[in-house]
Amino acid sequence: MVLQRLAALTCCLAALVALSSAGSLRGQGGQAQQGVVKRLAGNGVPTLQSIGQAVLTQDYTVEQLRRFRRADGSVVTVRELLQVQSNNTFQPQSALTFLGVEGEPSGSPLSQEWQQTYARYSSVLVRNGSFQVRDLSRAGNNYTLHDFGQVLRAGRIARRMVVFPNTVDKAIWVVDVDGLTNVPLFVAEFDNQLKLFAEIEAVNFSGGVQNMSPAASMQAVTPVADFAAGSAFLGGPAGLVDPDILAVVADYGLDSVEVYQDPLNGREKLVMNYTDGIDQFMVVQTVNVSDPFGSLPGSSANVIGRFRDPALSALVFWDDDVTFHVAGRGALRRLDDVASRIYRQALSQ
Amino acid sequence: MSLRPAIPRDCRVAFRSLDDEAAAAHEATCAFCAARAAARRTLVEPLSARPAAPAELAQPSFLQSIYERTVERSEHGPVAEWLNVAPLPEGTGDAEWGQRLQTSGVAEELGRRPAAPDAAAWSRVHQEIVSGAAATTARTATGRWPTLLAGAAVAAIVAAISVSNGTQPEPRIVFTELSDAPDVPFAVVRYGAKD
Repeated sequence: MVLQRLAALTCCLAALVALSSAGSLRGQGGQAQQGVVKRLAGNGVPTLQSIGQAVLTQDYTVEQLRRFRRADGSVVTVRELLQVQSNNTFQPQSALTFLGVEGEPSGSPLSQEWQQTYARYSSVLVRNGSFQVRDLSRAGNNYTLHDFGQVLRAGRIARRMVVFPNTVDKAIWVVDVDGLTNVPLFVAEFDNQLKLFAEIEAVNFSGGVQNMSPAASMQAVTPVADFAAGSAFLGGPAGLVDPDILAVVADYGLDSVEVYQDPLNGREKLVMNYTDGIDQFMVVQTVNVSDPFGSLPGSSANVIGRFRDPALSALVFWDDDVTFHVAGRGALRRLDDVASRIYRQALSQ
Repeated sequence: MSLRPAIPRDCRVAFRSLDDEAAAAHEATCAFCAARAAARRTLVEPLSARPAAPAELAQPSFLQSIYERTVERSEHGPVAEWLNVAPLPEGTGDAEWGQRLQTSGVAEELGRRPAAPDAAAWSRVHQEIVSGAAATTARTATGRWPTLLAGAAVAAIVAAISVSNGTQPEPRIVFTELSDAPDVPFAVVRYGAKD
């Protein structure tokens, strides 16, 4: 059994290296050189700790290409500028600026649409849309790190690492880590079928930050300490639920709690992010919302709406003027149980 | 009348014989067999070739005439008489035929109530049922009280268990599939701008 798992792991890692080197989303040859499978040894090999702690001290500016794989299978490549200014915490100041859509003229309808998306969700893309070591202890328990040797990325020497999960319902990451700063210069996310879901590729990297002006997000995001603080911030609405879900997702823990206030529609949300060290899912509770299933026939039943594809799992339900969303990666089917438990908690209140 | 062919016995023996010389000797002395042997020799060549069918049989009009004769004969038969009487649906796309069928004589025949039973016979059946029920009641009357007490005890036990556990029935949750991703931040991370 152990030998079979080791053989499967080796084959999977070799396939990942081949796919990443080919730059499968682009369909073109990448700038990275082929790596060689090696054991973890020697100086200069990043660890989860060194990657996670890079945000504590590193200031940098990187121009990168972020590739979105749409639900219809098409790929949209967006050029963006990421500026990070450390503050000796794990939440450094950052600014994500939209530069353009590859292949689209500036000012085109598609380009404007994406510009508005970045204006509204830039902070979400920074915090939830890239590879980060969010909890070192949990990451060490839930993932293994494999070194695939030196590569060249954005004109810099980097180390290709594969972050492999201990369970099959999580993503596999290929990360090219900058040799000097331990900042990820290339990130590719695969599922256990080796389907590529996301890719971020640095094209220009420089240390330091100049003229950083954090883009004013159209959503006001306020970090709070915990659920109680978030509930108090929102005025203590009766329908909010403090999720009791660790029995279902014991490898995850609460990472952050934030309150979102959207000036466009006045909606207020309590967003609770859970992490296993690298992967994330979120529980979003939007207050003062009518029942989205109220007009459906048979709406007296307790209904959870579920959207699932290989990239995304999203579950939605409603109780007592609060809409609940549970969202995470497509392979994490345990989110069905998470949603059921939270719904039962809400119904019992 | 016998069904046996009128062939003399000596001739049958000669026909069955495998000895050609004996058969030829019999033919020389028997006028019956000599005549049939001569006919065989005359007809063997014509019978070996299949005669060609007349050209008229290959004409489409000939086959059509056969169909017409068949239809003409059927028009006066019992099937034709029945088809002329039975109601047929109007047109090929008639969606109302079901409704007409329900109000037709066929439906009336099917829905007709059976004839009421004889009053005396029904009275006897009624008396049998009542007497049988009365006998059962008399037999079980003596065991009624223990049954009631046992039922009450079971109900008390079930109630005690329910109250002590304080359990409420689990709410039933139904999952329904959505065609589009809901508006959550994670969907933006995955797919970017919504179309």
